[in-house]
Amino acid sequence: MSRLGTRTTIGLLSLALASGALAQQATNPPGATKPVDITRLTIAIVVVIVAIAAIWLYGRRTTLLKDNLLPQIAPERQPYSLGRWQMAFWFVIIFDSFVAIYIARDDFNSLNPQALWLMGISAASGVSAVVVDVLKDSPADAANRGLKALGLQNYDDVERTRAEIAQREALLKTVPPPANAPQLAVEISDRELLLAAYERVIRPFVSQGWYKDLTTDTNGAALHRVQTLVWTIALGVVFIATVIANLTTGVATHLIMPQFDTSLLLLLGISNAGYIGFKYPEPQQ
Amino acid sequence: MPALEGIEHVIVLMLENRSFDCMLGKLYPSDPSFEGLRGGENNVWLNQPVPVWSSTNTPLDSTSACIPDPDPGESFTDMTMQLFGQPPAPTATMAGFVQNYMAQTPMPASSRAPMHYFTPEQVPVISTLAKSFGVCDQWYASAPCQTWPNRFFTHTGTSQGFVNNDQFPIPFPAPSIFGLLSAAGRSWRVYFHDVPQSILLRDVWLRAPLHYRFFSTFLSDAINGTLPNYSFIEPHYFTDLFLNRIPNDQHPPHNVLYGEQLIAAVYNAVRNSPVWKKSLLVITYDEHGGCFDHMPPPAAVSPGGPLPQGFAFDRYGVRVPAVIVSPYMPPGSRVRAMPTGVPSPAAPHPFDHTSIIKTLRLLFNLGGPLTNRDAAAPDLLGPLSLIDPQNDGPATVTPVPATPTIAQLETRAAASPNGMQSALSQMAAQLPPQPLPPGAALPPPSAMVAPAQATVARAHLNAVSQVRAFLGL
Repeated sequence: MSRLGTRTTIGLLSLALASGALAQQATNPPGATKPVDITRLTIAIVVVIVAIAAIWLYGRRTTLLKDNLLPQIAPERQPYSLGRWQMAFWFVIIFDSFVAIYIARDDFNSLNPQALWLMGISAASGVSAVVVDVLKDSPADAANRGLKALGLQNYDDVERTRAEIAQREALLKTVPPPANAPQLAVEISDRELLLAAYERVIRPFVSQGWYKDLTTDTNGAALHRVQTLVWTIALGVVFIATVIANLTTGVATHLIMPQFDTSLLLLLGISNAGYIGFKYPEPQQ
Repeated sequence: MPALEGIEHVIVLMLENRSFDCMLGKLYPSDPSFEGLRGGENNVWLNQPVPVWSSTNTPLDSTSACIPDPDPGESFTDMTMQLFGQPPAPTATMAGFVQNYMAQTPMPASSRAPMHYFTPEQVPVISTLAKSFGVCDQWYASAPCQTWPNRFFTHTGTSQGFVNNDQFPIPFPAPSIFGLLSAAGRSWRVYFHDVPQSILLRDVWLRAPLHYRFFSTFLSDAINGTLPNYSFIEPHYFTDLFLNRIPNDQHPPHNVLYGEQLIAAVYNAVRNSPVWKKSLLVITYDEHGGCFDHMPPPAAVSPGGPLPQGFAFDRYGVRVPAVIVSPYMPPGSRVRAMPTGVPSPAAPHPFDHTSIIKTLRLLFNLGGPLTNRDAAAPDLLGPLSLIDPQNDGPATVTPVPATPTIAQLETRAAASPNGMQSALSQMAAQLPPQPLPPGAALPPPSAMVAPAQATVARAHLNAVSQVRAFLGL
């Protein structure tokens, strides 16, 4: 291993060691492979970074990581969803680990049952969160019904209304003014009222930024959300650190991803169950 | 009159479009002096009698509670037909309700709807209060016209000759009871749910942000004992999908059970207020809204002033419910100002909405009348005959539980607005875009020009947005 490789992994390696998870992995079992080729490792790191960046950028601009409770809100203004984000978080980590290991080791037999459990727990949480959103009649549902009754079914209708205002304003600027100018003015006023009401209605439901979206509801900070987020990130960091540490040593491919014991998986499950349980009565942001 | 000394707070709750017979016609079925329904009243349609009737569902289901559905006609022309029939009789016969109802386009499925009435068990709140305090079976709408003329009569004693909602100049220039109260240093507030119709009064435009409050404030003012001298309460006129609220004005075809809930909320708040012993609560309706009543409206004193549409306002509208609640009111009172039977055209006159003005003028020394009509109106102080405020009535009244379903809310929001809702939406477009500063010059009245909105949801949005901007809310 080069000096550069050693420096980049030493911090995360320490964290993983501290968690105890790596201790289980540090012992090379029989059949350990040779240390990784630095070129392949570099390629793997680049691919992982590109994949993370792609998911993050795509998630910001679309509803990939968002709640989408009000289809009338532009995708980039939709609030982040804790359930979806958690699903994406584990997907990215495990997928990137898989890809990185494959590139570094030229071996795709890296997935273990614990990784699948992590994806399963997060997927179950994500699905449960969506089910709760569908089942409960939240303020967002009332806003959605109200906006639909006003003719705003989705964000396309908002953009169409804006275009109609611009079109009429352009007509009013013509010289001489059109004969139906008073009617056009009324129609503009009508649509401006609609958009003003739209902005007022959606205000509580637009994104306040990633961290606030994930940790608050309309009542403010929510402990069950913070707890889920913290445990998810903590286990994620341990997972990444373990993979990096093991990848740079001679651990066998099928043991590179951490093998969280039952207690840790149970911990994440309980945390997510708490989130879902509290989500039902919580006012939706 | 002991009440003249004891009453310091007058509260008026004015609901929408129900006749006396529709809501209280069966209140005292065995009392021959009570001008209620006997059961044989009818109209004729296609040579067949259409008698008064009531659904048998108690408590009311969501269909029965909305009868008549669709909404009967309520324009001046409609009401003339309801009262005089077609061809018109020389005097009001009350024989044209079904005729007028079935003349609508599209023709309603049932000719019986306008002849429907509610039993006391179906509307327990208003019935209980009527029996526990006083019910007036001689309270007529001030004019055989729509909502706005009658509500303007309530506030100003005139509609200045206008007979329909959509023809009024905005702001309405007649001096109002609110102006008299302000001039006399008396406190007043209008408590509203979504859009206060009274905001059209020129008298209130400079003062509106100081005096208009949401209904929730009424409840807290009552509990805190801080009610003003005069409180006027306006119901929820529109469906609000954003707040999951449905109209509680009882305007057909709105479910009467939500109006019952509103009446109960008002009564329970007043009854349990520190100022209960000094209070007078009047629960009434602006007009009959095409619902049958068997008593022909008598002649009335014309308020005077211009008659731009040819009607002199020299007869009353159809009878409407009026329940008078006060600890000074003997329980079980039948409140009347003249002998029973068909009233004569001369004094004494029956009660109408201007009796509220008359009562307030006397109670708070507000000076002379606003118009000839309120000058002639009987006041409510005489019937408040107990020496001491000892009739506490029920500690609370409990309405029938009812909650609108999402489907009901969506149906109402997608419906075409009724005449009142359309007019409120048009009116709102005339409001200044922000509160008028003190001392500002009031604009001259102008005709309403904004187009009516296609659905209740759009009409609501238009009206609420502009009213809130004007009130600075």
